[in-house]
Amino acid sequence: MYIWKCWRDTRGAFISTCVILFAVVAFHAAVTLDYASWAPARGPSALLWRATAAAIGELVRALVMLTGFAFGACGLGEEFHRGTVPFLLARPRSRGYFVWTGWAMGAAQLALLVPLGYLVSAQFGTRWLQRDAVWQAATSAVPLKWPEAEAWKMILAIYIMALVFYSLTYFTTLLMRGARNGMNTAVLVVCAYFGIAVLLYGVWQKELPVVWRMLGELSRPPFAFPTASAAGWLAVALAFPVLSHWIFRRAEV
Amino acid sequence: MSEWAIQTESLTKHYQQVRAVDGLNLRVPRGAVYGFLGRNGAGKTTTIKLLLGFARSHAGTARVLGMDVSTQLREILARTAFVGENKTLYEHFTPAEHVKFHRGFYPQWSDAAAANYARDLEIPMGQKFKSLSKGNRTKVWLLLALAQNAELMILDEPTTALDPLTADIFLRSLAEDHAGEGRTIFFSSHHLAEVEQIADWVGIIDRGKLLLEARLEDIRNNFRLIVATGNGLPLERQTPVVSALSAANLCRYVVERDADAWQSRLRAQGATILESMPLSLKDVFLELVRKEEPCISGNAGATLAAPSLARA
Repeated sequence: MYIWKCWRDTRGAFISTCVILFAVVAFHAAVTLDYASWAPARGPSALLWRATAAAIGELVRALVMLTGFAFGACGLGEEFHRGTVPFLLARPRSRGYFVWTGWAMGAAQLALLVPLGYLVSAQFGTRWLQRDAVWQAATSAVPLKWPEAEAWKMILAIYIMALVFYSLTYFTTLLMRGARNGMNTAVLVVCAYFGIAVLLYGVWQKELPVVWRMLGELSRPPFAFPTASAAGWLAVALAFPVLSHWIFRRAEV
Repeated sequence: MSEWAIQTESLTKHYQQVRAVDGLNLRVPRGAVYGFLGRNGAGKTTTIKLLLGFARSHAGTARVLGMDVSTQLREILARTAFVGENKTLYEHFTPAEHVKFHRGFYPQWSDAAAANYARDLEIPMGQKFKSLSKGNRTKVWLLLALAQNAELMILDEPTTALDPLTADIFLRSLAEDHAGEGRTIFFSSHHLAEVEQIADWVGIIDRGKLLLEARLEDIRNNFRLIVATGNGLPLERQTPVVSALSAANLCRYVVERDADAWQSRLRAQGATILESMPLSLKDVFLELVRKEEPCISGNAGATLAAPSLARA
């Protein structure tokens, strides 16, 4: 029943995210695959139009990241802010059950959202525009041919990236006992980490692992899946619900 | 099977310097309707949190339905219904959705009972929780607890925001449908009248300490307020004295039984008995939780007098 409750809690966010993401990827597919036939893409504005397409591609990536933040903020920690924790904890279930079920629901929604976004993009290109699908959504400049067997690599990499942000926000929302503070903390952590990474590279040429670098690796020849990097980030993503469990087991209400 | 539905031994919980629960020894018999009384901040809600595992004690033990709260919490929760102090539920759920969510956790849940209570309490089952009045929000909590058919009900101020009619319907449901079937009901309240209406046991807590635990019938029949004057009168709180207050040479005692024997003892020590009178639950409550400390209140002349003397 808690699964149903988690779905009921998040279905609004899930459906709206789907609508926004699908609209953006469809638009992106249209612009990328068929830009020459669009009126604004002809003549002197063509360059601007292609630049717009590339910017929308970046937007898709940002959107997936934001989806991770948003889904994480809908997690268990928000129960504290709502004041519903005593009602929840009066159920004859372990605290771990609530932590892992809530986390799994968000992870499953992301697992559905990312491939669906890809399919919408690809289907839009092949069926509606009648073009050879070249999928570029959420990737950098070099497009991937579709339907090639490599498509799953990009889907998996995007999913792991989204999962890292989702799990981090799920944890911080629980830690800060509320969605707003949780999301702010997660954004702060990501910004601080990125800032440190930039600083380290700028001053000492040392590279910190950054999650979206996986996508860059995939977009460059030889298009190899960065297995070690993905495994590392997956471990990071899974560490956050473990930490959440640890925090929630000790929480008093 | 333990004869106690709830049993605590020296249960202690503090928040920084504040001892919210201080060496609590509670005994709630199985099948009892137990009214847990106390002022605001007396420790009622903290006690309930400890009993349901929402908070951890710093010392002492708590057993519910014969099981240890620290190790058998899930088994306890499966057999216990709960109504929280803040009547907050999921704002975007309707009462019907709350029922759908809640029922799956409890094998004893009764759909028929839920439908009956929804009708009797006139709950708009299709309306979002956020749009319900305070009274209707409380009713949703009560519906969920009542239809659960639990062996033990732990209710934290269950009639908050209810109008007198609904409160009466609820209290009658508790007394007839639940207490009548041998289930245990443990409820905290500020409302002495509703405690008197349905409780058969009463516990009074103040500053985290249990000041009194007795049958309501015993309070009505045996408790007496004795006002005496004299020098060097005893002030120890020992059986049968539940409370003793003194100012100058005026002393007032609440005794739980053997009032005549206690008066004889006082007379033997040279005291003059000014008044001896039976007490209502309200009188007992006020006597026990009044702020004056024994022997140190310099202004106790008026308040130390018995109600009849004070009025005079």
